[in-house]
Order: sequence, then C-alpha cells, then structure tokens
Amino acid sequence: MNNAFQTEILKLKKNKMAFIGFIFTICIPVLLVLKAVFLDKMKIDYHEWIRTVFMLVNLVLPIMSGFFITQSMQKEYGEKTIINIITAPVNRKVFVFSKITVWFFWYAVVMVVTECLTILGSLILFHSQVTSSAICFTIQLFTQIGLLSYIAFLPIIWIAIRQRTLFYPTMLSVLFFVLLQCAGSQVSEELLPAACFVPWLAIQISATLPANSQHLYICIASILCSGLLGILLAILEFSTQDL
Amino acid sequence: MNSLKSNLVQLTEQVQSEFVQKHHKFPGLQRRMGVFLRKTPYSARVPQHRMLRNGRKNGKSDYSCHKTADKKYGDVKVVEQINLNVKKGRIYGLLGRNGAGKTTIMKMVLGLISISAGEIEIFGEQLKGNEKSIYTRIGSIIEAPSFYSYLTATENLEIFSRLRGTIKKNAVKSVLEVVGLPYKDKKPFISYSLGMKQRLGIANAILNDPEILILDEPTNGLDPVGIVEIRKFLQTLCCEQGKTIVISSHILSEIALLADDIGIIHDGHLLKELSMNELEEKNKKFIEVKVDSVTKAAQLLENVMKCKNYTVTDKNCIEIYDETLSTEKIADCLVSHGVGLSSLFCKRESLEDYFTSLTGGVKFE
Repeated sequence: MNNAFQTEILKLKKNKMAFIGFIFTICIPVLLVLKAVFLDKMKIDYHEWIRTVFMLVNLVLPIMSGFFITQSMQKEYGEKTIINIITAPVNRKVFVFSKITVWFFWYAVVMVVTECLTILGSLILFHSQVTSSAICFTIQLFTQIGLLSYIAFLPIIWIAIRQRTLFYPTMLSVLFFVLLQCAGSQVSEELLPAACFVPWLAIQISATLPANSQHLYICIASILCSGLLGILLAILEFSTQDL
Repeated sequence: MNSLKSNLVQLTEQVQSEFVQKHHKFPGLQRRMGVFLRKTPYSARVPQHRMLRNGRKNGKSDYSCHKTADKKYGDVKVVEQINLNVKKGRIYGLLGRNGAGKTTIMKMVLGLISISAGEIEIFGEQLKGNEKSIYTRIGSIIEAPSFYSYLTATENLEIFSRLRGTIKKNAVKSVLEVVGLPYKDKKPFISYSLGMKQRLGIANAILNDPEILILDEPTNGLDPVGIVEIRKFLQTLCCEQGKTIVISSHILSEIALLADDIGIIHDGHLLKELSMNELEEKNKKFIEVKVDSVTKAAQLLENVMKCKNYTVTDKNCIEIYDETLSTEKIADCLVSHGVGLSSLFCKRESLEDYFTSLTGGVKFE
C-alpha cells in the first residue's frame, strides 16, 4: 500500500490536472479579496464576503476534485499503464485504495490552502470584525463541508473505473452531484426529512442543522453510506474487470 | 511440340486450380496429392543462438506455463484447455493468426483477465493464491509498451520499480544501459520513437530480473532495423542471461528466426507444440528443379524415374517430393535427355507452410 501510494505521489508531481485544479480553487479567495478591494470598494460586510467565498469554493472544489480523479483513472486506462501496474504486481484492492488516498491527499491540501487564504483574506479585509471564534467557525464549516463532500463524491471513482477511458459519463455525474450539493442549501423544511437521505443534498443541509439534531445524524449516515458504497463498488468493479 | 507443351502446362494449371477450389479446406490432403500453388523457400540456416541453446534442452526443468484454463466472452469460448510447456532458458514462440487467442492466453497467465473455468499453474505452483510470489518472477509486455506519456523513461521506471518494491539499487540505471536508453534524460515518453518505446518496455520487463519474459508481439510496428535490434536483444537475454522468453507473434518469419519451441494457436485451441528442430525434421523435404521445358521434365520424371510425387509450380519449375530420388540422379536423367537445367536445390517446407496446413489458412485466402 505504501509503495502504491508513493508512486501516486510521484505521478502527482507532473500532473497538470492536479496543478490546474489546485490553482483554480485557491484563486477563489484571492480573486474575491481583489474584488472586495477594487470593485466593491470595501462596501461589502464580512458575513456576505465569507458566504460568497464559501459558496464558490463548495462549487469549484468538488468539480475540480471530480476532474482530478476522473483524469487520474482515465489516464491509467488510456495509456494502458494499468497493465504494467497490475503485472508489477499490485493488488487490485491496493490500487483502488491508493487512488482514493492520493485523491484525499490532494483534496485535503487544496482545502487547507483555500481555508488559509480565506482566513488571511478576511483578516486583510475585515480585520476589526474577524474574531477568533469567527475564524474557528470558518475552519469548522469549511472542513466539515469539505470532508463530507469528499465522502459523498466517492462513488465517482466507481463510475470512473467502470467507464475506463471515457471521460464524459464521470464528469456528467460529478456535475449532477455538484448540482445536488448546491440545491441542498435551498431545501425547504417540509422536504428536509426526505432530503437528508440523499447524500449530496445532505452535505449542505448538515451545515445548517444544530449539533444535536436527529436530521444531522441521518445526513451524516447517508453521506457515509454513499462513501462506503462507492468504495465497495469500485473495488468490486476493478477486481472483476478484464484489462 | 510447342503447342503440346503449352497445352500440358495449361492442363496442369487447370487441374491444380480445380483441385484447390474443390479441396481448399484440406491443405494436408493437397500436400499429399502434391498440389501446391506456392511454396516459400526454407532457409536451411539454423540461427546461431538456437544452436547455442540446443545443448541445454534436457538439462533443465520445464515450466508448465498454463494449464487447462478456459476463457469465455458471453457464450463464446475464446480460449479452451490450453497447456503450454515452456522449457527453461529457451524462447517459446506462440503463433497464431489475429484473434487466435495469443494475447488472451498471456493476459490470463498475467492475471489481467479472469478465467472462466479451470486453473493456471506456473513454476509448478497454482497461480491462485500465489500471485505475489509468481508474478515477481515474470516480466511482461502486453499489447504495446505502456507508460506515462508526460514522464521520462527514468521517471517511468522509477515508478514501476517502486511499485515492485523489491528492486535492487541502481536497477533503473542498469536496465536503461542494457537497452541502450539514456538515464535521467529529459525527453518525455510521448516523444519517443516506437523502437525506443519497445526498448523501454523491455527495460521495464527485466527490471526485477525475472525468470520468464512474456512478450506480446514486441516487434509490432517496428522498422526492419528495429526488428533486428529487438531480436538480437532477446537472443542475448536468452543466451547470456538464461532468461526464458515466451513471445507471441503472427509474423512467422520472425518466430522462425527467434524461437526454439513453438506452439500454434488457432481459434483458442493449441493445435501443436513442438521444437523448431522437430519441425525442421518433420517438414517435408523436396527438390526444386528449374528447367527450360517443364513438359519434357515431367515426362522424364514419370516415365524414366518412375516418380509420380511431384508438382509443377511454375512454367519452368518442378518440386519433387519423392525421397528416393537423389539430386544427382535427377540431374543426370534430365541432362542426358537434353533438358536444359538452370538450377536444382534441395529444399524444405517453411514454417509458413506448416502453419497454413495446421490452421487451414488457405480457405481464407
């Protein structure tokens, strides 16, 4: 597992998609700082600014993350390096886990850097308004949504393995999941109990619920189920796949 | 006289053509009846590497590389009950037409595709459950050398050496030297020529110093110089480093020059497995005679030399399959009866003829 993960890191070093995804995502807080300074002339308040950053990051990061894993899997099939990997030999389960791990590694790095830039930006723009509790809340919200989003999107790896060299089905699925995730913030109270069972809707819903809410547990459970199912299906698909 | 001669030639050609049309499904029968429209001359020269390795034949144990395994796609069986006996330190050529099942067999052995029924045994061990220990003893190239296009040769090999985990220090550098590619070069794999890609593929295959190399059509798409390079390289690996090589190809001339043993696959079945020496002994010898008058020569063969087992292959060429006739006797007879003799050779059927007769290739031509 360690060798497989290390090789994924080696591949990551020259992976243009990983770099582009990283730059695109971390650009969001930077560009919003510039917008607040030069276009809004500092007329915007802290909560509005942080909400905009939060909304855009939650839109762009899952898309970039979907691009990253899709391209990573599709390249292995397209360049047929998967044959060299399996005959090395690498256990098929280990290969899937190494992909999931490196995906998480990339996702975590992008998320942390974006969080840092957001906090830095908020300190530059709204120095007087930003308290330590506000920083903690920002970190907590970013991390919670980020992690839950990563877990809910794990079925993407199953689709990527199933589609082999095809790019579009996986990307369409990513966009559909992102759409659901965005729609999660617009769910009405009547629909809330049902929406909690849909993992991609549950990501945003979980951010609005109090810590002791029963619905929060349902949201987390449905997201974990999605992740677990994604991993199991990916392993099952890859283990029985003829290369 | 001339019109009689041309009539006889026309009649012979007509009979041959009618026979081939009628019995095209039975090339073996055609051969027995002495009807061949085309014959590829056999090069009597045995490749030097094969002579070197012949001495080892009996001393070492064999690898039963594959055992009674089937592969189905839907209801179609693409490979059925194959058992390859690969001898240690020798080159085994897996011959078959496109779609015969060569790559499928190799992929089954390498665990790239699942088997529908049966089991696979390599090095005397069951593959199932021993994958890790068996695959570390095997190096392979399947279909085409596949590497990360944006990485250099060194970076690619470093990735695969790390994946294997048990590679010696400097292994990447030394294998690149062996195949003649630069170490720490800046050129990405995508800009490599096909020959360089194949060499990198071989470098990757020998990275863990395997006992067996499984190579699926490694000379595909290469120019003649590239083919010779790869052939010589494989011969060196086998002769000097004692590697066992299983190589698949549909290029018969290539296998004839390289392999010590061959297995002929057709429609997923192993039709025949034999050594090239056995093939050479087995294949029918014949005497090719080029004369100015094929009609007169044919008459002499039948009436004077009492030979019926011959074929007129051209307007001035006859192939004689009667083993009791010597070249001297034929030459004496023809010359003494005033037939102009331009050449007389003792020849043998080629691997192509043997392959065609086994797989029934004529019917597709």
